[in-house]
Amino acid sequence: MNLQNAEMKARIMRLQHGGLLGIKQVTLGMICIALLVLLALLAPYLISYDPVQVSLDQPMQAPSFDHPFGTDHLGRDMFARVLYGTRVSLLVGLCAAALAVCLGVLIGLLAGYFGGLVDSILMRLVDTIYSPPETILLMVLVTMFTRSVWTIILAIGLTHWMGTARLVRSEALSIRQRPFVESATALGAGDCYILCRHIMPNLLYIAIVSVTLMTAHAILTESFLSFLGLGIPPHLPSWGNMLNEAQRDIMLGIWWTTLFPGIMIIITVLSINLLGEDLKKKLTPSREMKMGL
Amino acid sequence: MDRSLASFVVRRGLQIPPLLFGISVLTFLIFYLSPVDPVVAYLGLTTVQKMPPEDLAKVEQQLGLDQPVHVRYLAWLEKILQGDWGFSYINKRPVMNVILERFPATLLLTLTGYGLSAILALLLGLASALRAGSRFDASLNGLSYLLYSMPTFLVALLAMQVFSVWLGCFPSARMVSVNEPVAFMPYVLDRMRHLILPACVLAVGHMAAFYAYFRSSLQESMNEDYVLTARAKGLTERDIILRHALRNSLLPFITQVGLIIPFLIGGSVVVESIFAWPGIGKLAYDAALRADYMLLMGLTLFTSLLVILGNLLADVAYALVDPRVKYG
Repeated sequence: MNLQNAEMKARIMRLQHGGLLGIKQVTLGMICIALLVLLALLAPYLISYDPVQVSLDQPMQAPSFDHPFGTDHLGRDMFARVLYGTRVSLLVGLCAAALAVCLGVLIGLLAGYFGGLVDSILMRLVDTIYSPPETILLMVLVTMFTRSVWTIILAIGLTHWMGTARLVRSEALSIRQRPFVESATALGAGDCYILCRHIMPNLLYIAIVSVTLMTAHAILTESFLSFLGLGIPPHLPSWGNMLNEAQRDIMLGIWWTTLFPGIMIIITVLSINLLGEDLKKKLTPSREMKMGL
Repeated sequence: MDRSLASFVVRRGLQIPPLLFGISVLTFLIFYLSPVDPVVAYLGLTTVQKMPPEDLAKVEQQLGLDQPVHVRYLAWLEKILQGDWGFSYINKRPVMNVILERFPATLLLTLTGYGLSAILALLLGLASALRAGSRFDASLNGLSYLLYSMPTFLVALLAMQVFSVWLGCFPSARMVSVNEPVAFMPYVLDRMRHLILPACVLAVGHMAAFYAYFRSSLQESMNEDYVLTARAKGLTERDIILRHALRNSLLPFITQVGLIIPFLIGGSVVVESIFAWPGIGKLAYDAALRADYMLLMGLTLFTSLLVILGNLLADVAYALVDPRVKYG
């Protein structure tokens, strides 16, 4: 192999594993996530303003020392709203992702391990729910049921577990045929024992990577539903809701009501995605799985 | 068409009827289990509120609400199969007519968006592969992450602000101008001017995903043995990529056609709502906002059909291109 090519490979390796960009991205993503979690937890201690406190005497104030992010059309402090929005987004993202991945792992495990009729039935169920586009299904669900943070979480969770289920199933199918499972069966281990002690640990990486990437996706989904006025109830400060209300502001040249929630969404989703991609690179053994996740 | 392909298509086609059955059950069950009053669903809330109680009872009987679930499901299915998809009360017209009338607009938007994103991803992917490991490659990777993490509606708002408000070069809403040009060429140009902005916004998000996919697939091809052979022959890196690796890395584009349809429809909901594009995405948004249940039900069925059809076509195309598939 020629020298130029070897050098190029080394450069690609550097890009992929740590090195200049890799390390920077990861730590940046992790620092951002840590900061966001801190902000969400400490929100009440960081600011004196109430995010839902309306003060009609000071609407549409530009960012100033009193209001670092300005105020919206009802005079609510944008900084407080954006900070409290972190809570809503992280709550919805994490809960919906946890629900989706738990459901996916459970169904994928059952289908992959037991095979046969159980597998056929569960996988036809997955195919069926996969058919309507998730956005349409979500809109149907949120229209049907009374809107609250928990119904949004439920709706996002229930429409996003199928991909994980398929991955877990195919991985469980292959692990089931490995010698260590056979020897466990020969030693008299029950299904439950084998599932928990031998199959689950080998699948954990799918769950970890899926939860991370799904959290980012769920936050995007929540913000888009709220932006359309179909998500979190309007009185709660969520970034999507703020952007929904900011739509008419931007035509009037009021940029701060759009800019800050928008940037927060991008930072949050980007840093979670970066963490997820890194986890994927580090934890995933086969390249087929990398493409699938 | 050779026999193995024919049998592949038949085998693949046989998976569809059970899926259709599953979707009809799913759609019916969602609406059956939901707390929504079926009479309201059929007639709309305002009509029901004005109705005397004895009329309401009559409607309930006519709708068969006193029947057990399976009877109601079969009755509903029979109507669906006959093409009677119910009545959309916000449009005051049959659901089927409304959907079919709005569908071409969505098709135009999504196909343009898809084509744009595929072409751009291909060009950028190739450009960065030719300079693998360079700063250009790294910054494109970073950019694709950034775009991938941006919600479509934010991209839409940004594009609207820059191109419609500040620069004023593209209209921010609708499919044609209010005073629609009559002559052919100005008419087509007017349409295109309206199409560009929404189609680009729709393309941006998919482009990032496409790019990442194509780039990693190209990277993988570069590790194959035939690339080593080509290198041993003394071909330049450029020739290896363009002549040998590229063709095998195009496969994901074909498989992605099927996978991407749900996301195109999802994206069209956002883009059409923001740009007031009269397609089925906007229709779904209006239906959700004003709780038009029959229309939502129809849209669920219709978009599911699209997805199934898209997947079938993608699989057949894949089998045509990659002979390994049809024997699998």
